[in-house]
Amino acid sequence: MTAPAASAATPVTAQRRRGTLRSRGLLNGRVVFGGTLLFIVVAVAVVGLVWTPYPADATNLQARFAAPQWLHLIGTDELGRDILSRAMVGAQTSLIISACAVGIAAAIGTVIGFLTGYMRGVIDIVLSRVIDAMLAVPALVVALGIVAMLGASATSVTVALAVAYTPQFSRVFRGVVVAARDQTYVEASRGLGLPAIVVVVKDLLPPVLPIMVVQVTTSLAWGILDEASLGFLGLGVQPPAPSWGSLLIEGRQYMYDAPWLPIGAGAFVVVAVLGVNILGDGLRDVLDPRAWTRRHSYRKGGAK
Amino acid sequence: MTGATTTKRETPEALLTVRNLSVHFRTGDTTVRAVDDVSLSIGRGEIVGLVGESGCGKSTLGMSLLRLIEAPGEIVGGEVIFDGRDLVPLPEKELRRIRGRDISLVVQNALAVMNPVTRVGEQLTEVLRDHGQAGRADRLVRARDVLASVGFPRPAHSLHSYPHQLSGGMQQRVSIAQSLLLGPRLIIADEPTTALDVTVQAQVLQLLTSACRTQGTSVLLITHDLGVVAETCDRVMVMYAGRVVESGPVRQIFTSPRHPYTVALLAALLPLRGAPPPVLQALPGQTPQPNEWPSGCRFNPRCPRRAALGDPAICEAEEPALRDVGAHAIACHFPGEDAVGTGRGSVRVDD
Amino acid sequence: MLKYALYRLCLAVPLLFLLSILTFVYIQIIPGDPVAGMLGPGGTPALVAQLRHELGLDQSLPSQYWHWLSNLFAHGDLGISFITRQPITPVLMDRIPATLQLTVTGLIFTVALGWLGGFLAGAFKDTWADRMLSGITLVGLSTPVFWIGTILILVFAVHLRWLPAGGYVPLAVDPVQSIKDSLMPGFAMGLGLAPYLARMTRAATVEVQHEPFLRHARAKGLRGRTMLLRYAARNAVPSTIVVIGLQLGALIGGQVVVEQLFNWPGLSRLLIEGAVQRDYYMVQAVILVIAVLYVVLNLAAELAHAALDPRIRL
Repeated sequence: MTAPAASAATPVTAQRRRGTLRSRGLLNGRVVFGGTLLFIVVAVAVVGLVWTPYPADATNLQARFAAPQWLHLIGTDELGRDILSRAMVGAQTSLIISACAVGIAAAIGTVIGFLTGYMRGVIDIVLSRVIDAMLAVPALVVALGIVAMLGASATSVTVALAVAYTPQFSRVFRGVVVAARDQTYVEASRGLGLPAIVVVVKDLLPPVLPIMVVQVTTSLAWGILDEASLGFLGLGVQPPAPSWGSLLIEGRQYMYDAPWLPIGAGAFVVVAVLGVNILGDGLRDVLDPRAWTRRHSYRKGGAK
Repeated sequence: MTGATTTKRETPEALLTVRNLSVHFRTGDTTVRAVDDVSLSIGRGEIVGLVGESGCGKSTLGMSLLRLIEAPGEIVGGEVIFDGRDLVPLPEKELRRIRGRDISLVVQNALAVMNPVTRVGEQLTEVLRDHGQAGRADRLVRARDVLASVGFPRPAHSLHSYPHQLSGGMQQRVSIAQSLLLGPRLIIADEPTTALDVTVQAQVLQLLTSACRTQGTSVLLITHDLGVVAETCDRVMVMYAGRVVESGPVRQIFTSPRHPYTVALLAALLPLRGAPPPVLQALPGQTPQPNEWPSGCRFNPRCPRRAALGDPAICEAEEPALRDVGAHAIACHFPGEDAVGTGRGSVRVDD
Repeated sequence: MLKYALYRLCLAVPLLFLLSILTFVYIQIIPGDPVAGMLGPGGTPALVAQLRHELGLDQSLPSQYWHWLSNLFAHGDLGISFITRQPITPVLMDRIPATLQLTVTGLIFTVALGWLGGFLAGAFKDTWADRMLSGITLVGLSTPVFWIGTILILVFAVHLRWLPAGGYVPLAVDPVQSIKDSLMPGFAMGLGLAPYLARMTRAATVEVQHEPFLRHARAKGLRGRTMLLRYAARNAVPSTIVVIGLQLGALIGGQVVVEQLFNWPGLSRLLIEGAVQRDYYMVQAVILVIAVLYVVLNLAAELAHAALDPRIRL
């Protein structure tokens, strides 16, 4: 009652975790605030499907490089296109790319994580080393390499980011699975001779889920950032198709004449990522994963 | 509460006098009364034992004497008068000078309380430095001498060790050395030997008490080990559920315990002489939860004496105060009934 | 300590070997025939076959790998560029000083901001200072480097005219100008990465404060400063060094953007140029170098951690 679950030295069972969840409330302030920000961004993207202040591709040469004003809330670009409208449409592309990339990475990473963590043996040794090696290359660099291979397009950005994030997911899940596997309740299930799939679903999935949620939010934030970064580097979604990334590269060319271009498009990224990060923080607080793995590492004193 | 029983407790030179101290832990809407209205005193050079089951509040009491209770714990009332000064309202700045210099602390797990990344020598000298002892060389000499005095064969060498490189017994010796560094007047020793091997326990305890005896240092020895108390203490206090239920000179308590809880504690001991009893007496029931102490006498649900007397209503209705009965102080409504329903006391000797 | 260093070094060797395989395989899984793509419409089958032979692409995979690896070790040869047909290694070597300068500058800003901010926030947990720092950290985490960089350029180069908007002069040629050049990109990188370090440092500091030895330090009557520096900081910082090592990946990733934004001729620019032009050998070489750099720097971080925490050295 004094210390939160962080002080628990062993992973809590699924039931106790649920109890903690209920008592501490899933809806803490940060979850609500972050969720609201994210909701607004998603809502803007959804509204962009049916309505934008101007058509996203409509040029207006009279209004080139218009500074932010009442008619164009965040100004116009070199062809007089309304940035807000383009950012609204671009939001769809960016959010879909990041969400798909993270979804794919989570699915593959989870499978690999379970395979390596639960089965162990040769699969574990080989795959884990490969994952280690992949983690030695920064995600953005991996993504760059893959985009270089596939050519710049929305699809290749998605694939590239998915490949780049998979190692993180598998490593995180492997860690959780390995820790959970040696818990007495899992050993008991295995001792009963339950098939692996049953043990995984019944005993291993529950402790992994909260960590999955947190990891997904973290990666989602990265996904949005990296999609934009790739765009900024000219290796993302190519102009004139709008995405936050492609808006940024246009913005970069004209940053001296029209600073609102990169700043405006970037602001969307900031708000979206901020929302996801705050949400992730809140969820982390509620679900409190991984605290126990870290805490235990110093506990082997050299007494005797 | 501090009645006229033993001369030591009443002498004006009592080093530490605690009056009506209460420590509560508040979380949400529950209040845990870990220490509730406790009074005690420790004379100069006196070694006082504080015994009780885990969770009875004895460690909290010990820490509260140094005002080291961590949130949500809080001293909600009472006085801790050390050498004529009340520590409870004292500013943190002045209290810091008392901690470590006048009152020092030895705890159970010596390794956990040492800075893991600095050497033993640094940990000893920094205490000296922070209490204003100038001269790096002098501090090192003092640290080495203290290490030697607690039985380090090569003290100069050991100054360079990291805590984790020492054995458990040696770690506890460092801890004791550190508590003796500045010649304190009171040492609060909270289960100082519990984590050690039995063979080492006696040595370390011997070390602590002999150092204190020669320097006239008072000790509050917090332990659950009655054997340790019998060997080392002058006086003993028994705590149950946040309150002191019995206190008195060690010999008196061990030979003629008055409170039914003390009687039961002693009954759970193996006799020192003679054949072991066929069955060790265990107390029925469990230690109550600290957030819901029983009403009235907190021991009443488990009390064999109350059962033997036919469940008098007062036990549940009224909390007994600590009153002097002969050489003891005891908190029981029926202090005289010690022959009734106490079971087989293994160390019992008639008055 | 030496034993520990050797042990960590031995662990790194298979990792490096595996990395070489992975980067080698990278070239092999490119869909289609890169040689044909490279020659474009003018590439007759005969020409393609000739070039394939020149590049050794007509040999078996293991022999290609062996060839590539032995060239790498014997001559430091990373192959030739698809585009310029020039050896890659000298081009790479040319870029390394600039990259190192930027990395070091970025690291200095990262460590200064991250440790200080994180430690203060953790040591004064739940005060207004903590809330403010944690808020800034969260915003920093969510702010892309290109955005911060753009704003920095607009403020310090365009508006205030204090610092150049980009460019690079080697340190040896003009030290003052070189440092001036690297200040803004380094700061942008630091701002990008410091929030992570600040978070870790804050968490480590908070965790340390729950340790029994810190409470006992109070019982010993130590000064606040002693407890803060010798107890809290000395225990919290070592574990964050490993974090710095792991975050170097992000640092290098961030560098890709920073080099592009500030027109900084480092390794990452080479990577981007290679990626844009589909110069696969160039991309492969740069990725390999970046990965090796990462492994080496990580090793350095692990060793630094061990040097600061005596318990690791066992």
